[in-house]
Amino acid sequence: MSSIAEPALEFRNVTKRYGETTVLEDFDFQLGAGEKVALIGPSGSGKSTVLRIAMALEDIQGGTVRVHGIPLWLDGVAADRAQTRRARARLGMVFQHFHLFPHLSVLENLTLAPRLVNKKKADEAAEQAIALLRRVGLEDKAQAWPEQLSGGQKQRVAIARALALQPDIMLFDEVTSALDPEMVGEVLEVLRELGETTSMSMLLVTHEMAFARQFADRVVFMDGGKVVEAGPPEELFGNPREERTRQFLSRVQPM
Amino acid sequence: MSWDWHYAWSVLPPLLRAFVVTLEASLAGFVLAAILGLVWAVSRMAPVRIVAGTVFWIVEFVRSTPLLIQLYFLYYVLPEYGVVLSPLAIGILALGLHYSCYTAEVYRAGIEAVPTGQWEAARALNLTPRAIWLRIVLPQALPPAVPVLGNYLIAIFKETPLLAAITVMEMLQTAKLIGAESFRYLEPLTITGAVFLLVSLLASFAMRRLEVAHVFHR
Repeated sequence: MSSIAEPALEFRNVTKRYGETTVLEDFDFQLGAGEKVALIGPSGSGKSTVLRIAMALEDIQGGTVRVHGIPLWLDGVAADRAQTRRARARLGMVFQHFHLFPHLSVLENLTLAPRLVNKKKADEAAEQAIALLRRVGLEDKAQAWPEQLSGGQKQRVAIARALALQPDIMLFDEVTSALDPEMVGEVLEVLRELGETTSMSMLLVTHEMAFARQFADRVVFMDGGKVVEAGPPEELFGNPREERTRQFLSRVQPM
Repeated sequence: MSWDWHYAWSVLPPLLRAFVVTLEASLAGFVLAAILGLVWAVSRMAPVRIVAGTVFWIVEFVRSTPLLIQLYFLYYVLPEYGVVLSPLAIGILALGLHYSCYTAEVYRAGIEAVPTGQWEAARALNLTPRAIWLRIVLPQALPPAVPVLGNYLIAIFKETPLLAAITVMEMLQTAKLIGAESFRYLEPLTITGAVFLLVSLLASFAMRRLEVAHVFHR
């Protein structure tokens, strides 16, 4: 176990560019162990990129990234493969478009990584998978194929799949943005339950301001690849200090 | 010169024996092409640039030179380096190598059709590159490639008469020899052509059935 003082995620002076476009510039951010943070901001502000860098799905052009103290990047130099895998093992990620494996059943989607990565026995992995499906309310779908599920069900399966590797940190990348409105609630309900019953650290990129307000310990507003303002939800939503934050909030949540 | 049924009947057995050789060359060449093509397609996406680049140029080179030249080259040049193979083995090698550069493209299209999200989800689950290929990407990339590969099997089958150039006793070579002995080319060549026509038509029909079955399975 990591010490209390050690953050779950640490970004220091991180710069990320795609060609000429700078997505993150001297970006600093910490996610405390057990903390639940909502990242909000206009599209293109670099929120999702933060999650993707933490999961080592993106290269960066400078800076340091640590996952529970394990460096993924040290002053712009990437960790080797073994260390990257150790860092990734602490993380689970849920994507906007689910990315379930279409050629595998729901159960196999949940058991594949525990069996291959954590070397779990098949029956043990299946048992755990069923328990996770029960938790997201889908135990009757274990033998279904992903294409037979609704969007909300797919996303709940994707959450269960990420949990199956028992991560310490969960990354949620706009997990309700691709859903029909009537399915947003069931997915947020799963997140709420997770937030209330586990001590996992959670980093949530979202456009659901009402949910962010209830769910998060801290809200971080990003714009132009930088943190503009961060604070407890009541403060950031109720009494934003920065003009840019106010403008953004007035656009997304008309009072 | 008119068609002689009696003569035609008498040349049928040796031609059918040669047809077995044609089939052997086609099937073995196809298996080689299917395996090598997959190797090319996967190594072209290798993170090591030298590997990916080398394979790219091998494929381009083989695709841009005629099969007949490759056949002659392997047939006359390999023995100079101490590699002595039967003409049939060289024919299979050449067919397999040549067509692997086409099947590689088929696999590549299948692999590229797998959405990036699949790779990312697999990496986020900490699967090894090997597991990502074997468990996630190839199982999705290969099924759509099967019907197209089948068309290459038919194409290879129709190319086998080229092996006559390096003395493989396949159907065309046999028909030529029969003709040379009796000075009657009409019957053996016609039968040879008819066998190719019949088998190709049957195979195309079977491929279409396979394609339809595939579409319905998805």
